[in-house]
Amino acid sequence: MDLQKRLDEAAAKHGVPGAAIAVWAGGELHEAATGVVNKNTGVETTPDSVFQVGSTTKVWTAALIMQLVEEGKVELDRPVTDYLPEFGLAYEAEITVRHLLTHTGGFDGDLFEDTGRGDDCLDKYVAYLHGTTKVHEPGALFSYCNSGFAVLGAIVAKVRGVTWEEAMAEHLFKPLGATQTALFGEEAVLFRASAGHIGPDQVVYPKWQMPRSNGPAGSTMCLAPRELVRFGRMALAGGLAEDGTRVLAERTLADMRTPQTEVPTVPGMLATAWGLGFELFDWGAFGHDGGTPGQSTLWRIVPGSDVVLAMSANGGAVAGLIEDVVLPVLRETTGIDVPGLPLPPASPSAVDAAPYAGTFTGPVMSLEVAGADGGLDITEIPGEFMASMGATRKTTRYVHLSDDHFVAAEADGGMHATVTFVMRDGVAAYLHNSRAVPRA
Amino acid sequence: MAGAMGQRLAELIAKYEVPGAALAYLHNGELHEYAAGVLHRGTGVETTTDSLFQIGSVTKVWTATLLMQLAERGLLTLDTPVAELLPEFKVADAEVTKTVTVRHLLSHTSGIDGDLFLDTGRGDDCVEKYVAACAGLPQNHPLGATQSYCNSGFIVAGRIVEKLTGKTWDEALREQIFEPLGLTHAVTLPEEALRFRAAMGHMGGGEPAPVWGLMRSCGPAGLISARPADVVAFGRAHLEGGLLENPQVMWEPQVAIPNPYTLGAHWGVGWILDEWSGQKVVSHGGNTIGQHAMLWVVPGTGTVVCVVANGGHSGAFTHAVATELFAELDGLEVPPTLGPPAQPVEVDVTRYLGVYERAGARLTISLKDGGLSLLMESTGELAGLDQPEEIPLVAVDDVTFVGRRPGDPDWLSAVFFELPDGTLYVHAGARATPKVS
Repeated sequence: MDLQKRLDEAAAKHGVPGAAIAVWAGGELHEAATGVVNKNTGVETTPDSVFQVGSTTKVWTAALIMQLVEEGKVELDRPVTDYLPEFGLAYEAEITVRHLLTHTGGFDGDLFEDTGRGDDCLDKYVAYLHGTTKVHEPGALFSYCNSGFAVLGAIVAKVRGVTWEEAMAEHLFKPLGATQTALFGEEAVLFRASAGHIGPDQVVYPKWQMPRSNGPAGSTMCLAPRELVRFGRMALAGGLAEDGTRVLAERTLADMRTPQTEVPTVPGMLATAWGLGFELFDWGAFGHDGGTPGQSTLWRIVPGSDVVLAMSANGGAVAGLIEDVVLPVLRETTGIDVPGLPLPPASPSAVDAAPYAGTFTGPVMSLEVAGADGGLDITEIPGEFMASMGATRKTTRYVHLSDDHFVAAEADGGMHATVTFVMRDGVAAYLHNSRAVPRA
Repeated sequence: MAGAMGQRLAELIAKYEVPGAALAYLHNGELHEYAAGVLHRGTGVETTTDSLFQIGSVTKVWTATLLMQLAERGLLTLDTPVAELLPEFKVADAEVTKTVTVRHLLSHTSGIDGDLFLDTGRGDDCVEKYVAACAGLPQNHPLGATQSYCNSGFIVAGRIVEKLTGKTWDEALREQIFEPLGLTHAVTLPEEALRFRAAMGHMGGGEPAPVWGLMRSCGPAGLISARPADVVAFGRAHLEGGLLENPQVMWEPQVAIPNPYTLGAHWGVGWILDEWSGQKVVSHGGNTIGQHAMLWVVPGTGTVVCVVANGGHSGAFTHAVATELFAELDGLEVPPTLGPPAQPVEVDVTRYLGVYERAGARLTISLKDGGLSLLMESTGELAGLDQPEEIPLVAVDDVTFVGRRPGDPDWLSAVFFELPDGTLYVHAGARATPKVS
């Protein structure tokens, strides 16, 4: 499939410092790597280099929970407090394990509090969540929730009596036979380890790793793409690792792929539904995407075609790699007309802005929506946390795509952002951009 | 050698089976940097002059410098009892708990068991927890009676820094040394090392070490990772200023080292002191899991040298680099490693036979095949990493013996000595170990 040439050309064209891809197709593993893992060191990327795989970690954390379900130690529809009595929020709500796995818990999901490097970091994080505010009723809506996955990691740690990292190593890395894995800096340093690159000059992000408190949600795990492929093949093999070791029950994998909640979003590139941990795509694939500052990972598992693809990149316009490498390879290997990235229509239809206009306020930012020529102007007003990360007030023009979906007129990093409005009685109750942001 | 150093370093790493090494030196005010080999045989990543190596116990001089900075600010003196600075500090001996001073800690004369390698976690409270765990540490020798290398003492010293500054040792180090000196390639934590090329240690068989580094609690005793140029900049500040008003206070001899053939003749404050061709040389070395570093500073000539290596016969390698380099740069003769005498020496060894023991180690001296034999066993947390080793000893004089591991170019030396109370000790590997039976 000439993966190497495609990746080299796409990375050069789209300003990507380094990337690696692994594709299982036609009963073979194909791998390629390009560029450098870190522009400062100039160390070349190899297929066994490790990248921060970000939120793809959530599927692995979900698998650790599902193993506990198989063992009868956790029930999906029991309250989290059954397993973690110390869990609580700033308000009363009965939140179940299933709510957390499906991002439907309804509380602020973007809390990245650094509770230190120590083994007590998840306990401290769970204590910190006691100040967390409500976004919606449990189960009412999908709203991407990092905090919930940190709590799931805390459940794994508590029930197993080990750290989340120890559980990951023992119950997934080991039975899967995964070798290019790291959860701590002291492990990543054993490999060629990728660093994120940011900004117009693609400089190395000054802090190599995000806080350990969000590890189960994806702040720390590093993998070579082939390890995501390994997991994906296990999922396609009904829970069996390559050497026949059972990692998960066949039934569990089926459950993890069964739609649990719909995602208000533009179908195609983005998941339209969530299973237990897995993102589900309307063209037949499942998987997950992930990102840390400057690093991005895309992971697709295609049942029926026996195709698994994982790609990680450490900066630049990753959308270009998706357009030029991922989509063509998926189309060729699966024979499916895999939908591309969302694009603004050539001549957008006029739309009445009134039902959408107003202010929507979430825990990390507010969004002001106003009618504008040919669509909507949406202004992001970062809250304290986002401002501390360098976010500034920014207005983006969106044009109408279909139904209550809108797409940014201009691409940012090669990608046109989308928003979907969740309507109640003809008026937008939530602006949805993977997070549900309620009308103020 | 200096001109052709790039070539020479590559030759020397081949000779001493070192996977990768780097060298920086300051001579006549000019910095020179060289690198050779690979950082990690598994990944094949090449060593560069900007690569970070673990400098291990060279860190102790940095921790000592932090304390001297606090002393210059009037927060302590070398003779301040540790208990005054850390009321919670406690070791097994109640009298030592009360009377041990900062000077004892920084000159390895406290006698406190120095080899407690206890993992107290990755968190910012790791040094505090380590000091709490020192409560049961026994004495290797009476307080102030001699010198015995003491890692735990430097971790306690690091805790003093934390207590007085209200910061972690890592933060205090960054604010008091890294930042004022403008060091860009010096870190303490692995997630910081990941922004750079970082060396991996290699074990006896040449394979990469099973883990990258030591537990974080060892920080103040040995967890800096840096490129050699940044270590040279630290050494330079001790000659030319930048950190302390009076850095030479740290070169004043505090204790004679009973075995002067291994590291130097005296210990100062943090630094090891020696004399080469009549010139004072202050130095420190470091060893971590498969990595080795040396820093030498020659106040009389202004020369500062740092060599780092990630495996192989690294001690013999850095000694060889120093020998060639100092001869060329300053006309200094680096004392050769003590070896067996040309003519065998007859020594009555009867009184030396027996078991010598300190926490973490047992040394057994016995007669084998007509000669002395030294059996070294680890008994502490590192016991799993180390195999017992037996080395035949050759007499050099009445109290001095040398031996070496099969296939190792490094000779080890052991010196027997007696304290005024009549206890017999053997001084080897920089540690004093009393005879127990």
